[in-house]
Amino acid sequence: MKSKKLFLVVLCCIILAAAISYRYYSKGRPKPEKQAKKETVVEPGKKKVNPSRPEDYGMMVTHGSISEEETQRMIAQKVKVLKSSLSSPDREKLKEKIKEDPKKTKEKLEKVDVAIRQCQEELAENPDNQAVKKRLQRLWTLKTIASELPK
Amino acid sequence: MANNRGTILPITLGFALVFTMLGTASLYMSTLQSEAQEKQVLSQKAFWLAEAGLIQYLHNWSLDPKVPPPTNQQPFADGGIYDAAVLIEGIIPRVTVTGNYNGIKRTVSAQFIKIPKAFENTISTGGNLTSHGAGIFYVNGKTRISGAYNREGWVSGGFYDRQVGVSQGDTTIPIPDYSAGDEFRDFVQFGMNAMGSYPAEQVVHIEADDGDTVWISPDDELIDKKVIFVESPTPGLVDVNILFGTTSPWQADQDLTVISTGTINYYQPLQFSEDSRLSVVAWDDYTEGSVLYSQHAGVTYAHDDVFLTDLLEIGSYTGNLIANGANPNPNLYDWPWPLNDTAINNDNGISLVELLTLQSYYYSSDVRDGDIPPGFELLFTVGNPHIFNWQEG
Repeated sequence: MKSKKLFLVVLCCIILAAAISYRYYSKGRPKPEKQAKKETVVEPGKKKVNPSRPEDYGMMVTHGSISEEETQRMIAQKVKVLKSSLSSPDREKLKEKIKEDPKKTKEKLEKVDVAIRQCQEELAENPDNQAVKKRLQRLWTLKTIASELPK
Repeated sequence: MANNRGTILPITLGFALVFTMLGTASLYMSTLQSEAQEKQVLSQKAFWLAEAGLIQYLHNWSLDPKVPPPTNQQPFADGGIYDAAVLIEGIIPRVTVTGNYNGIKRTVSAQFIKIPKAFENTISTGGNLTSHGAGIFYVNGKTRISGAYNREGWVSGGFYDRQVGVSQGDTTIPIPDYSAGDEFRDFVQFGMNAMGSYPAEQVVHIEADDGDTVWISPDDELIDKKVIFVESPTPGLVDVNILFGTTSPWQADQDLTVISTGTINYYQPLQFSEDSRLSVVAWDDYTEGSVLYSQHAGVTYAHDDVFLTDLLEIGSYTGNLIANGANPNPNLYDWPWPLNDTAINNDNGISLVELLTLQSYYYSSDVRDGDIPPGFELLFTVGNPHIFNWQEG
């Protein structure tokens, strides 16, 4: 009787093992799934941006041509603000980058002055020359930067 | 002896059980191994399906970006499908493609963009390149000129690779056509769209009057800003003057684009921070000048001309300098001096004027590598299709 029971247990084990093997071998491959994702489009330019106030960002707005004195005053003020907002290491870094012989700066300023005179002469002949007016403005700005920034 | 009778059966059965279990285990192991190998093969097939889908869609997209992404495609006879989907991240689309081979899925994604050919160059102009004054300049990388190269005065120029008479398609960038014809309206729309691509706290919109000049200088409030758009009612009638930079010259990670419906003048660039980038888009001209050592990194795009003028000290520019030069005049060989309206209004392309020291221009591959300055993506409607930010999963 004992051996019969043992035989039955072993037989069950064999059947179970065979069933497991069969399951693995006969496992069907799953069918491919269709997975179409929806297109998501966020259109640029949809967000409305309200106009900003230039003064909130430290900007200045001038209208038309401004004089040499006005340009100098404005740039000098900007340079002062920039320098005061810099930390000490940054100020040293700036000094190191832009440092130059005062003699060289003087020579440059003289060159700028020559170019300014050329523009002024040109404007005396043709006061409506917008290109020269703009260049004159640029030269005044650069002249002020050269004299104010390295100080 | 009588006691040993019948023991042969359990022993035999025991052996049979052990061998059956061993056999089953080995069968199980080999099944697992074979399954893993099969999965590996299927996974590889699914990956290459996804890659095939990505490349196929890049091709379709380069011909017509409005073509919908392909779904349920079966490109190979032995089975497997892929599905593509598009997600617009800001402005640049990210395409995700899932390859599915017998249930095994692999997903790859990448961003597509067209990059105009001008971004292969350090300097590009649809007009001429003219140098006038006295000094030395070096242009590293490529210089591509649709018109002619004119040298006046005592300027000595060194070009690593200069070509003239190049097609304007390779040297200029068109404004996207939003309104079918009115280019200035398109430009304004471009500015609005560039702002609309970023959160409101990252953009500044200045509505200027005709004849205004807006002066921008370093300011803490401009830190982390992406786009400043200065708009005037009439084309070319606002000047934007940038002094030194926009945030502290040492502000790391600055990446700002200034857009103007008029001109932009950059005075004394002082961008010493390695990560600092200031890019500009001007409807009209762009001018840059300096009297002290200067350093500028960014993309410069002028719809009209670029004047690198009054550069009185050693300086460097790193990026891409592009001037469409709206109406190039290739016959302009005699540069009148001093400057006058005739010279300025001849739409020369790029001019180096009154250069008195050494200026160096270096190429930056940032744009081609996918690191695009704010707002510029909207200008990229032509050019070779590029794929970047590829990733799996």
